[in-house]
Amino acid sequence: MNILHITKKYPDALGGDSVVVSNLEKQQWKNGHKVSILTSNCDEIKPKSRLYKFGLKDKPAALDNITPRRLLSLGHLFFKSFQVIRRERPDIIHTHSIDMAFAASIAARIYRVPMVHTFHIVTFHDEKQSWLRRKTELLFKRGANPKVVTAPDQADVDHLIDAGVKNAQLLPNGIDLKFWHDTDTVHNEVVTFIAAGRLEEQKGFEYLIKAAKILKNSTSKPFKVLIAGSGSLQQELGILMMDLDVTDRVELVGRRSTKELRKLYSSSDVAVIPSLYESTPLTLLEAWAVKLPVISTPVGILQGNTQHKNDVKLVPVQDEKALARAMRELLEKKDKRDKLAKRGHEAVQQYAWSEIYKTAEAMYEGVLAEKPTQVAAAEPKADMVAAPAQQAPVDNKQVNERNLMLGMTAISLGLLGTAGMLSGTINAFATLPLAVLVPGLLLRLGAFRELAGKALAATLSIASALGILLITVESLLANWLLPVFGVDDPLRAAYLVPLHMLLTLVLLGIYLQKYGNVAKETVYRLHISFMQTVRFVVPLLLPLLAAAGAFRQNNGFGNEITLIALAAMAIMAIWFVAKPTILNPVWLLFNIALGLLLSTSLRSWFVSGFDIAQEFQVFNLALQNHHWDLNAIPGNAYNACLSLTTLPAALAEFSGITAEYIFKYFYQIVFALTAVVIYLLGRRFADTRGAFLVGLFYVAQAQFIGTMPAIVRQQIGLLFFALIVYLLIEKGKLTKANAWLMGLLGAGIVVSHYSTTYVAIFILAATAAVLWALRIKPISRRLPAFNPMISAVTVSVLAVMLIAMSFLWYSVINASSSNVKNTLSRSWQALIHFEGFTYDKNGTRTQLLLGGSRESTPPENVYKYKEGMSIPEDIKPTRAETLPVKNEAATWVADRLRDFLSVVVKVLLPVSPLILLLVRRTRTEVADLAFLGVGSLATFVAFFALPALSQSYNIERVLQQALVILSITGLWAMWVILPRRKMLNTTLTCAFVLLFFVLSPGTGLANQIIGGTTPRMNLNSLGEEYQKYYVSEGEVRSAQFLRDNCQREQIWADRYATLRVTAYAGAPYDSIESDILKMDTGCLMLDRANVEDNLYYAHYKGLNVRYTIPDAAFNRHNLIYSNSSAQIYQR
Amino acid sequence: MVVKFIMAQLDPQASSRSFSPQRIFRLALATLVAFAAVFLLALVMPSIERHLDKWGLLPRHEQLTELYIPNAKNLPASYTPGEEHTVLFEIRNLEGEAQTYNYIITARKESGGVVMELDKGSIRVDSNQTRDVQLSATLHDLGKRIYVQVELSNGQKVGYWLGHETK
Repeated sequence: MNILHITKKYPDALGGDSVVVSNLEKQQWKNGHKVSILTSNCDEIKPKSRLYKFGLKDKPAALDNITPRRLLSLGHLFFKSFQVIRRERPDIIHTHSIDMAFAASIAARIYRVPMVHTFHIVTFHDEKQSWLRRKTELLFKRGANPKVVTAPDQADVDHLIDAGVKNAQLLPNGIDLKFWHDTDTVHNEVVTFIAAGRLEEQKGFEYLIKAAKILKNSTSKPFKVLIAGSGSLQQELGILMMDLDVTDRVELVGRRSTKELRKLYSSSDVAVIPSLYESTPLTLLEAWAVKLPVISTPVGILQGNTQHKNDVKLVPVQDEKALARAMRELLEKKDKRDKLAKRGHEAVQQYAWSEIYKTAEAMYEGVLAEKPTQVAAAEPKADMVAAPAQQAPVDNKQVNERNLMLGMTAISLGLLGTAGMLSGTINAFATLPLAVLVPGLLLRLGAFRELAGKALAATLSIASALGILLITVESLLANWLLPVFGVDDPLRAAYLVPLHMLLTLVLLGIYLQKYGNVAKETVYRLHISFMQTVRFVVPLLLPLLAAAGAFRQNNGFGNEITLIALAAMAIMAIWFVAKPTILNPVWLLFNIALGLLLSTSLRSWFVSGFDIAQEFQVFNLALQNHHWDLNAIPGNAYNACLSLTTLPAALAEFSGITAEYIFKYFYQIVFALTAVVIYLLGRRFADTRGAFLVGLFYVAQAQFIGTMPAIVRQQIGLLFFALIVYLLIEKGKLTKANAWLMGLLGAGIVVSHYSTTYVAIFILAATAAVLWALRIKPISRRLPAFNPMISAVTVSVLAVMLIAMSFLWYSVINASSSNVKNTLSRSWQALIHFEGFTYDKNGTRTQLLLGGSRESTPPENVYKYKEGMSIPEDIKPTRAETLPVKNEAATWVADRLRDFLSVVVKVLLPVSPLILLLVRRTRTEVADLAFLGVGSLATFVAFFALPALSQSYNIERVLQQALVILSITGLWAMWVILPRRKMLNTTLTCAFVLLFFVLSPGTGLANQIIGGTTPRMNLNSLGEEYQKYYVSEGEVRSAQFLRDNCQREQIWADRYATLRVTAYAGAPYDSIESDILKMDTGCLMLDRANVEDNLYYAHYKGLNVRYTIPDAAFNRHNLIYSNSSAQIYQR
Repeated sequence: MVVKFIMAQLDPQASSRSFSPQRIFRLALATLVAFAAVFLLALVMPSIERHLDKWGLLPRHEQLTELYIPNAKNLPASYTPGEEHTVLFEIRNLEGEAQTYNYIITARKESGGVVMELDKGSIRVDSNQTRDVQLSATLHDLGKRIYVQVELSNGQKVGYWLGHETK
């Protein structure tokens, strides 16, 4: 047992409680327990191991009074107790002073450590005590609320029970008989009375001195009174002795050590205890132990109808005459002295520590038996499939899985059914998440119960993906089947909600039918401790702060809150890395990922970003028509992505959330789960810290923060892809559940996003090729070390299945695969004619990737554009804004550091799969992942080097997909090649990722503080990104005017105004002319950058062009609309 | 019965315990506290919203004014000197409060230089409302092409070109 004593005094600070605690501690150590002490800050208390001091320095005598110093010390104890409990992890806390018990009780409750309190003095029944003291003592007792309260004598126990303390027990003070027996009695000619204790009023020495005076006057027999101890009354007692002229008889011998006290006792004849009040005085037991007769006031075990009334000579309290009479009797009658000494010595046997200790031990065990197991309470539940009920302790804070699912389903259906009447906030935070999660969980627990990944985070991630997939399928079925029955607008809440409710109920029925009994026996603890609440709430602040920061910036305020959010992410990440037990890594990572995504996605009250404009257009088409039309925009690949059409339309219908916020808010939550899946994947190979670093590295990428919220169709697909990789790298034989789930998720990728599908096919096919190659005998003979657990057949089947499904979906059903055919054909031609492999000749792509700086549009592009397009106007290049450098040196250092990290990433990531395959100490599972890494690498190289591929698909997004695998292989490879000293290795890896997080242009944190970089839209309301992607209300209104007034006319807008026109005027992206200076007829929309900054953007042969034009450029056009940030010209 | 049922749900061991008035009181108190909390929340919600808005944490509309020519497709293409020409424009006030807009309507030659003031005035538009202004002015001969412009005092403009038409 691990026991923490919290005591006011501890040897060598004088006091009964000090001795009791010290003796109890000795016995507990002797019996194999671990004991730690938390005590006051006195010089007298010597430091030793497991002894902690709290508060301001104080004198032992002052500790019994409530002084300002003492109050401050108690305040410190409040905090100190957290630290000590956290460090010592006691099973039980035994307090010995009620004010201290109160101060430490909060920490004890938070850490769920039961508390036992011993009242060494009970005063609240004693009317001689001040009213304040008595009330305060009771109040402290109620506040501390210990499990058991003890007092050292029965009378005090009775007082406690009378005062309403029902859990009071007797725990007598004890004595080490062996120590006190080990002495030789010395007989004096002069009878000596000994009294020991602190020289405080409570001890009643004043009455002893007065009694000595009376005795001196009433007997001729010589006697002596020795008073051992020190205290605040030392001087007063000395004066009293002089005043009463008893200095020849009474001597203050000062403070004595225990051994000296034993010697003093043995050379004395009678012990006197004149205390006014106290619990069982230790001096009584000590005197008895050394066979001294005792004269005492009725305190402690001598109170009331005591069993010891014949073992001592009792005298009333504060009665010097009675005391003098008793002293005289014993002075004169040696036989009486001997008789009392003998009886006392017999009586003391029952107070031997060896006996008292057993009582204390039984009490501790009784308290611990009531307490729920600490591990179960403190640790978050990791497994969704918990232990059967009969193995778990009976507890009414438990709920079985069946009831939990029934409850969740009921709540979800209730919310869905009444969503129309509920506020947007409730729908956003409860209705929608539950509508996705509940059927997903029912599927996960009903259809895929045997799945290996049972961690809660894995269960929730898979359930969310399944929920998304289910809604996609049901909305597609509604869209296709309901028109057969004459319903023209199937994507309406009136049809979708009942259908979703019905499907959820069907899934519930299947789940109950299949696993009802098992689920009934699977129990979860519902109790959530305070610390778990803190662990939950603290990371949750990150997305809330990020959202608040984005909102404030949207409303024209500064970026302080966003910066605080980013700094908080960095601090929490560092905090976690330094102390991995403090926060839940999955929850922290999810919130960091979500915070980063929201900081970008929530900028602007409208859809902001690039492809998202077209995505929003097809979403709006499905939402407003309440029907997804395959031919709404013929050949448009976006319209073929269900993650952009039926899925968001259904989600919007379920919840009534504004269309924009389905993308800006809900999709970001779903996508943030990808970081969780990467953590879970990393956890297969690394500890929590390593897996967290992998996840952090993934989310700190510039394209994760800046690009992904602007391309929402890939977000859903990437979650499915990450889960497929997670299921693929599963130990042991492929299970049916895994295979089916991978198939479903594969279908999910296909219908969600075409490019994610194609990249997945590339990765899987390349991996399969490597795996098959290793099966060829000449190769396998030469490379015997490679014995992959990952099955070439599984990977191949998965790749083939994706190819078949994508062909079916994009070619046969949607007829939107012409781009793919062209791209593949061009790539093939390039390959066979050796045209390809243009590895980033001018370096601009490399700069964009892997943590490089985001270069603004180069000015020289303007001249190429002007010449190439024969632009008639006098257009001029212009440089993009950078944040002002606040400190040259700091900027220089940050830039160099970032360059260094960038080089490390660029070199390490691509070769990491090869490193892992070639270094022998790599574990098999990592090697398996390395095979997928080789596939990712091959895909990445193909997209990077083949112009036909790289022009068709953004390389950054290929990288983000490949990073699902490469971020793990990269960090693992770093671990492998670093020096094999664990501490150094860990420190370097941690430092690398944390520096990457802070310095990466993705977060933009460091450069926001020191300046010298391109402004980022998530952090600034200026700069190129802001001009291009931040959509203002004025621009939206302008686009809507365009939609209403320029139908069937040619629309003109520059490259980024086009995004506004696409999203809010509904004009097909490809139909908009962006070389606006060539406008001859039609309508031209100028956006905020055009109007406010006279800045225009174009795209010419893969080059970004940024230019200014003369004021009079549109002077020959009619200006038919204007607001403060947009204009529409007509010609 | 209902209370007993609810209590049984709250505490699975309730059925084995006595049906004490103390427990009913606790349940009633908890319900009361819950209602009081909701009531208080409803009371303080406007104040919370006010503060959130003050701190910029709630979506705000941009303050803007839309100035436009309605039915722009059917704008006249030409003018006849000496004849009345009708100018029609609309203002939508999205500034968040009622505004009075001063406007000036001018006509100028294509080459610039000569500017003819056709009209000026002011118009009050309530918040979130649209008002149109229609007026007629006689246009002098200013050349082959003239530009008719409406300008508000905040600098916003709309305008269109008219070709010369002889009778």
